[in-house]
Amino acid sequence: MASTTITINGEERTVPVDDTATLLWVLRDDLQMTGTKFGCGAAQCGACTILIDGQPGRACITPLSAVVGKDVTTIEGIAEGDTLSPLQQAWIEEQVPQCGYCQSGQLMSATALLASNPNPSDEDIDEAMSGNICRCGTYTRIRRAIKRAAEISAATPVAD
Amino acid sequence: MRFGVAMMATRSEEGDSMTQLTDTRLSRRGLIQSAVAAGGLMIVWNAREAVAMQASTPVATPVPAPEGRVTGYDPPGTFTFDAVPQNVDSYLKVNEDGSITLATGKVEFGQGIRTGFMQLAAEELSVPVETITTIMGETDKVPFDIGTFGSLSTQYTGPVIRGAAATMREWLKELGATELGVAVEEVDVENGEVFVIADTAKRVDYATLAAGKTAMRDIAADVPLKDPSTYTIVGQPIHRVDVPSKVNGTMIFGIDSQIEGMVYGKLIRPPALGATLVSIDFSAAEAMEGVLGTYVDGDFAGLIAERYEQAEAAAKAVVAEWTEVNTGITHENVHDLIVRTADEGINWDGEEGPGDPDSVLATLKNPIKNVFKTPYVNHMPIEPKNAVVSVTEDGAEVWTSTQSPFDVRTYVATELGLPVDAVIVHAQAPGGAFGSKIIPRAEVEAARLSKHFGKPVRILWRREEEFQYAQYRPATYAEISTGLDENGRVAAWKYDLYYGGYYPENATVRTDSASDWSANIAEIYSVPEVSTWLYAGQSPLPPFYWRVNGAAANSFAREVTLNQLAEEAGLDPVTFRVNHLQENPRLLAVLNKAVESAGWTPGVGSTGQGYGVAVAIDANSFVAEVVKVSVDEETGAVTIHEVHAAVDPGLLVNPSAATRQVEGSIVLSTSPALYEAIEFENGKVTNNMIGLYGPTNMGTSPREITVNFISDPTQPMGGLGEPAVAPMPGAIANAIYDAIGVYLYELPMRPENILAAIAERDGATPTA
Repeated sequence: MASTTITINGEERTVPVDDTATLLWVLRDDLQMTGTKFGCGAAQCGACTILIDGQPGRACITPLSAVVGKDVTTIEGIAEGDTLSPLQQAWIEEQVPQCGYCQSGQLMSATALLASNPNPSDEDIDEAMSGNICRCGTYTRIRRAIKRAAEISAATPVAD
Repeated sequence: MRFGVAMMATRSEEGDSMTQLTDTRLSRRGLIQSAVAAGGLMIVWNAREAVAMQASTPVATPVPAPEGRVTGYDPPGTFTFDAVPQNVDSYLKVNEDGSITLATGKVEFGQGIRTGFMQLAAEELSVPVETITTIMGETDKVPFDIGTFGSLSTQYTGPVIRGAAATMREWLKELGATELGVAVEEVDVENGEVFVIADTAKRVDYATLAAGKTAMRDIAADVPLKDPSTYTIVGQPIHRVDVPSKVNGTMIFGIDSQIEGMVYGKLIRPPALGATLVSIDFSAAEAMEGVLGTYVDGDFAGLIAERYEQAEAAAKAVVAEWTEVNTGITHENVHDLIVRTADEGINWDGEEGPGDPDSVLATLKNPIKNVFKTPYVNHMPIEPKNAVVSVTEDGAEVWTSTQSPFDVRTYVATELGLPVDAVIVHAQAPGGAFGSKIIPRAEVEAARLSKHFGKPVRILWRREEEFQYAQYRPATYAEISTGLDENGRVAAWKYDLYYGGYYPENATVRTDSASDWSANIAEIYSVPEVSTWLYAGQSPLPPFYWRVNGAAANSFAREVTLNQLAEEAGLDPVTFRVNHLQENPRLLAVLNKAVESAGWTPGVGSTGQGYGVAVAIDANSFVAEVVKVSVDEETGAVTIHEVHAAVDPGLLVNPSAATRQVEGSIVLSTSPALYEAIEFENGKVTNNMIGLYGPTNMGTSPREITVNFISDPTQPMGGLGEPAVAPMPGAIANAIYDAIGVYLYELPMRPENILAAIAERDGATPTA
């Protein structure tokens, strides 16, 4: 029987499919990690955004072969235990989500943005976030929450 | 406001008939019985009353003809609607442990009604918000409800919940007074306890009063409500209870339902609307890995497979031949079709009937005649339609994203030939709706496959399926004739609106999706001699309600024309509106507030920057929006720098959630104002992917939005899901005019349309 081993949120997971299977459906149906959403199947809405070695990717068009040996991070993996990430905290402070369906993807794109750019400008946010569509119209709140998260991160001592 | 008046009349009649609770009613209600059996105190209200309250709004009747095919593009089947079940009621309950349960058929999809309902109940009961547990949308646990749409929830369910909570409070006071040995006038409530006013040490908590009791009362129509000036919970910007699970990935949307033994179904659909199946060959698909079965019945063809990707791949391997569709109708000529096939029209001027603008217009020196067009628009919720249905010997269970769980129950039961009680619908959080999740589609499809194959089946629409087979805000074509009298006031107003109102395969069903009383200018501005007619024409794509129905198209046409009249009168657009709003003080107040917020400084001539204003009334809320834009004359690109909204929704339940509803309405409305249009020919949508369709994103939506509320807590609660959608297209068009001196009369106002208008302004021949 086919099987493939991938690393999700720091944990090795073996799934009963070959490496041509699409990451999104493996996450959702094999690993029951349903925080990563299906929106278009064509990398045009961003609802399935995950991180591959820290870089944003679209799980709906990513075969397992592209992530074998790499670290995949999903929405289920950005909090530290019970402590929400600065972005998640800011998302609650700003009450960003409405229906909430796109927000996993928004948070993952924002996570990648802040990791590479701790103090993004409006233009940086436009560029990093324009691939994540929100039909409820939360863009202005997302922008504020990213800036707020940058403040939270700056005020938090980094443990190393 | 005639709908509001009608609602109140119905409410009062129902209230009078609800003074007693008979054993018959009780015995019929399994739902209530099971809740009662658990013990505690319960306030119930009648489904008929709740529906009557909701149904007397202009938008509350998307459930179409009582018999016959509801929608020609749905899987075939004859649906008969059980109008309103009389045997299921809703309830508010104080449980024996003092916790409180509120059950409602409404659905939360991020608009904040779960939290708002909790606030309304907690306020009247004087308990902390977190004491209240809500059950929503589970058809075996909650009262019948017609559906969550039309900005109805806070407007019409809100007052019922508040009344139920107040009734419960008065009941608790009676029980508490007895327990404490005083008269009921001598007690009051606070923090979940009844206490003696003259001796506050004497108190008893709600749990004690409910313990060991199993009792029920009807809602009291004339129950005293708290004085709004004493509110401590209603009106507070508390955080929504649904938000935490939406930032950590744990919220369960319809698509996230995990059902044991579930397989994926996929339908083989026609390449164009209206095509019928000629032949189908499943042999290649049947040989593919994971494929468990194929099915065809008339034009309904599908298959099931173990995994989503297997179902997708197999569906692509099916060879199907469909009839050619050659209607010649495209997005470019559809307005001609709609006008040509329009019905006799509905007058929309209220009890007085239409005025006689023609005779006045004939006397005017400079009458204006404008034509406005809008295109078909997709709802495009980010979560496509989906459902899991498990049909068993005993009945069926449905897990779905829906705005209308009880319609799902009826449709699925009808499809399966089951009584409605044999179908249980679990309404999960919808990932966006906007009107797209009212008519059950994926649920009926999954039910057919589940029944045939004897397994739980999930149907999940591809994005291309959403674009091609869903429903659409219909195209509109509006004509306005108007002009100024010698005092510089609007002398007469003739408005004829044509819209795609009926789908050919089901011509008897009429969707008044462009109708909205905001079409009638006299409802808003003081204008004499008004006539407003709405004409439903043939729609080549299935038309349906899209957040705020026709108000956006109506507001666009009206507000742009008003700007032209203001210019002719030599007045600032705000001043001109103020002059015509003297009889509408609530709208006047929000207009002034928005203008103040924006620092209204319109440019003169072609400055490249401009301000625009528009107003609307919808769902008993009053809205004004001022937009500041810049237009790049080289590229035609419009940037919306600021939007300043002022909204008067009457009593405001949660300013935080309300602010976000207004912000979201503004952003969503910007998208079809500037970018979106369904392109199609011969029944086939040609821009059937997000990249081709081009909705707003982070970079193209308004940069800053400021929301101001004017709230008089003694006014009834207005709706807020939709009203702020309406003014945006007109406000943007007026701001573009202020910036570059050209008016656009057609949506969307894409860069190429703006460049063409600039070329026309400059005297060049516009290029296509």
